[in-house]
Amino acid sequence: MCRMLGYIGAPVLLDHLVVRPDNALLNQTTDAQLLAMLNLAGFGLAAWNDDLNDAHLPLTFHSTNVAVFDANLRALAARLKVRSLVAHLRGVPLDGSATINQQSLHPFQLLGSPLVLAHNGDLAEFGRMRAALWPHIKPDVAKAMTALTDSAFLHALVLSNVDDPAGPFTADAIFRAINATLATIRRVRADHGITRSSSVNLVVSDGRALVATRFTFDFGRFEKLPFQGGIEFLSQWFTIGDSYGFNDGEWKMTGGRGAGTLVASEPLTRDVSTWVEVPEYGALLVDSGEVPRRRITMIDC
Amino acid sequence: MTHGAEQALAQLGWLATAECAAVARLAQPFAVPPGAAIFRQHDQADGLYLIERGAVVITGRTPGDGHVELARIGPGAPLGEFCLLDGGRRSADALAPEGCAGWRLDLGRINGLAEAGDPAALALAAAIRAQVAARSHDLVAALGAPVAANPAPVAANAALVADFVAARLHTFPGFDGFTPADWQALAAAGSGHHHARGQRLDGTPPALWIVLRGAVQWQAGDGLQLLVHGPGALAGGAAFVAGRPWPARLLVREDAELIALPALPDGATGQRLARMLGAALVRDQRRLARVRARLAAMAAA
Repeated sequence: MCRMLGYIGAPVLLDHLVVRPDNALLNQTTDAQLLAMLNLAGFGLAAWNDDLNDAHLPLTFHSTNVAVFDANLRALAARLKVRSLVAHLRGVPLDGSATINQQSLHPFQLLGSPLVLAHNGDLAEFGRMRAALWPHIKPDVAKAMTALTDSAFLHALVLSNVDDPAGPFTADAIFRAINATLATIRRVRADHGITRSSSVNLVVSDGRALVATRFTFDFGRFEKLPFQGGIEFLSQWFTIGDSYGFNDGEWKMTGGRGAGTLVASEPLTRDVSTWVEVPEYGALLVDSGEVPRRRITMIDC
Repeated sequence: MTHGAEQALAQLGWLATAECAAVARLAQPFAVPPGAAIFRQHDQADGLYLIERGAVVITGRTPGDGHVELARIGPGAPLGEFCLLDGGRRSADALAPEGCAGWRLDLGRINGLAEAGDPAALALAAAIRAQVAARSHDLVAALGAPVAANPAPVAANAALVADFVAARLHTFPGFDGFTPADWQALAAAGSGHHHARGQRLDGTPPALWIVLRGAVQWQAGDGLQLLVHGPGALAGGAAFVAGRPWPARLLVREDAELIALPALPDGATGQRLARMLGAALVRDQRRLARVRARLAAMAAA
């Protein structure tokens, strides 16, 4: 199980999102407030900044270091301003079953496409489904894949369900691709008799549009203890405003009608007063702009 | 000194005369100057306030750091009473623009008495459960289109064996302290259910549902999803406490195994469940308040 965040809005120092707040993503390595797990298996980010070369493509950073100790990440965060961000802290079972390598770190990006995906959750019995999912992945996407994890397949399936991986994308187009992906997985689970609860909280973005899902297949259907990450519906929170920063003694968004959207597995502050939840089985869709278009849509799968 | 507190408690109409006198002995006077806050959202709760003089404005924070006025209360009104059920953090700001004074019942002392089975403290908890249930009913009615009550009772269709119930529930918060006698009492008091997705559960009279496996969902008449409950959750508590249906439908969201309780069991098992029910009611109320905040934020944005 993992932690993640997505941001679209006015440029903000990376440090202010992933390092500084009292429940910043890095602090969730060992002290997540809403998840009883350690997230030690690495960190990744995709960041957009209009001053970068090929600004439509994200700057990416992936490291298998334990994130809270990663000095390179902290140095980068102290210097880089981002207008869009998808960041992910990887947590895996502490039983040695997971492979820890750079290729398995989120957010995933392929083929020079700007569309990246971070996943919080897991697809139960994924090994039994993998072969049945290959035919649903476009050859060019399959050729570019470098990881075989459930999350890597989710990204590949989403890319296989968009018209052109090069974009540009709208939030609606991204959402349709996610819905098609989930429908495919639903069918494959049924074909294989897999009914175990499997969470698919996603943040998918091309830096201009962002979709954050809060979804679980067969929520609450567990076969045995213990449950990875607990038995609550996996959380996904968001807040909106003009700008994000340290105001009146706390880290928060200010200006309710603003262009900024910040979504995260859990609020970046222990005080959750200005955050609300993406509904269970739902998604937050954001098309950025001075007047952003934001809406909640339920997932039909 | 406690005569005033006793009168204030009697005015609420929650407790019998002797219970008012017993609880009033724990009351301490309080006063705040004009413009001060009695408490702030996210403060750790310290007890129940009884307003004797002055007025209090209750506001909640929203994404973008906005504030919405939730209520104005005056002399004779209780404030912050939910904390006696869950001991959690404050869910709103309570401000006294002109100053106010009254009585405070300390959370720790009241809960200590309730834990010891003190009748007055238990009666106070029951009264507050009824208050939370009524508040939730009103909030649900305001959030979405109402649903006509389902007059048909929901027929039990599964066996209920204490060992099976224990195996399903023993790791969940609250149930982890249950003894073999509690499991026997629970199985004897309830009926077993196994229902497929879509089954409506909000029959008359309202039952208290315990989810063993799968998930259930509260939904307004316009399809707005209000709450989702998974394994280990108590569902339908507000309708159960109030003895009247919610203006929403309770549906099986994922194929579910459930217990339906027409009433709380007698004795210690019932008291344990009553404490869990109180906390669940407050948790649901907070979730509903966040649904309201989300709808407001999306409408404003």
